[in-house]
Amino acid sequence: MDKKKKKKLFHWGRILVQIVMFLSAPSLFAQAFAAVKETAGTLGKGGVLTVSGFVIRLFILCIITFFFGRIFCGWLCAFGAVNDWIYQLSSFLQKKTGKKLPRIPEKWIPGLQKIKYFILLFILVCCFFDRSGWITKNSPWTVFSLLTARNLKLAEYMTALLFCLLFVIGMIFHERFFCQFFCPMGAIFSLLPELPLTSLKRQEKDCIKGCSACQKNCPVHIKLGGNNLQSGECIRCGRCLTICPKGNISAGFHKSRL
Amino acid sequence: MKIFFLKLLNVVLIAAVLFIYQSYALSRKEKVDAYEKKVSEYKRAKSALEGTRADGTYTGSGDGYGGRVTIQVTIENHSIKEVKLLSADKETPEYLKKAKRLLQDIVNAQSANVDVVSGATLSSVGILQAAREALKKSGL
Ligand code: SF4
Ligand code: SF4
Ligand code: SF4
Repeated sequence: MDKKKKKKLFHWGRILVQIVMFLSAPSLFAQAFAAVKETAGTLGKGGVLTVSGFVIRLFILCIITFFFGRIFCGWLCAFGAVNDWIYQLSSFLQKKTGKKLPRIPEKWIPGLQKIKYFILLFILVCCFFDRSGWITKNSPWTVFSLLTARNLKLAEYMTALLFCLLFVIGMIFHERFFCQFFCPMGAIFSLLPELPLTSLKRQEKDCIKGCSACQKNCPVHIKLGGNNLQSGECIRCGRCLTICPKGNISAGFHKSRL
Repeated sequence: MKIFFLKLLNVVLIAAVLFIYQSYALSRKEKVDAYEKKVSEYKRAKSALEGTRADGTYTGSGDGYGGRVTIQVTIENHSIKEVKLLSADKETPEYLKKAKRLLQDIVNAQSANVDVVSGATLSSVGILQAAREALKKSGL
């Protein structure tokens, strides 16, 4: 199979997995995060921690992330998939019409990616002081969960709806807009240690001079082999593998090149 | 690699803190439970004395996460004796299971003014709405 075909197969394979996951487990990420909120709330009240179904889900996702990196984010999360689809549609339209939307400057991105840690902290503090109802009322995830449950009674969640719309607009302009800048669940994942079983490596010395195709095409703008702190952002989408013209990027310990 | 171990250390620390907390919380729980039981008995006696609720069973419904939630309240001796879930077909079982704690909370507090269960807010709101409606019907 030639490289182009492989690339196509990879691209559509991922979309297929995302569609299947979207249909079968559309609120997995929110349920896993509910475990975090629940735990913070219990701590705040001084209650006894319980292992609910949510905690088990969170635990499984964290274990997966520990071993294989954020493949959940790249392949399995329904909300991440929505991020991808909206941007794919938008870039498709941009190509068709020949009009280009303004982009977020590259040098702002690492800074913007830190916002999610503050959001996580904010939510934890709110839950600790028993204000989790307030979070639910204003969270765009609530709107998303209600919609996926085909519940259209959104009148009470106007601010949440507004946030949701803002994020959708962001997703039109920037790939993985919500995921890399705002997602508190993503913040937890990127703070987790990850075994290098699936991590991406680049043979920088073999690179084409002046080339930065992998970084430019990476949804979360990682400069591979550079700043290690940012490596928690990688969602294991595998695109850098398929994009490098020289096949300079490998996954895991082996040189499993595509 | 250094970052991997730093992150690992953080996770271990968090786990350790939660573990220590848990053993403390468990020892506290017994006292809290005993206290709450007393409060609940007191509240029940109080509403029996006040006699503002008529005996009987009443139903009410509210909007939960996926659809309507219907509950039944039993008033005996002018106080709330039991709150039962009649139907909640469209709630996600996991959330509903958590929110069901409210049924007992309402009996304990002798009113529907109780806190929602965090992590199951939407189902909670449905149950509380339903309880309020039912309790309203019971008012003399
Ligand atoms: S960052 Fe958040 S929303 Fe995005 S894929 Fe990961 S869990 Fe899902
Ligand atoms: S393009 Fe490569 S580095 Fe960027 S997120 Fe995808 S797999 Fe990770
Ligand atoms: S795309 Fe390939 S050649 Fe270009 S910078 Fe990335 S690894 Fe190097």
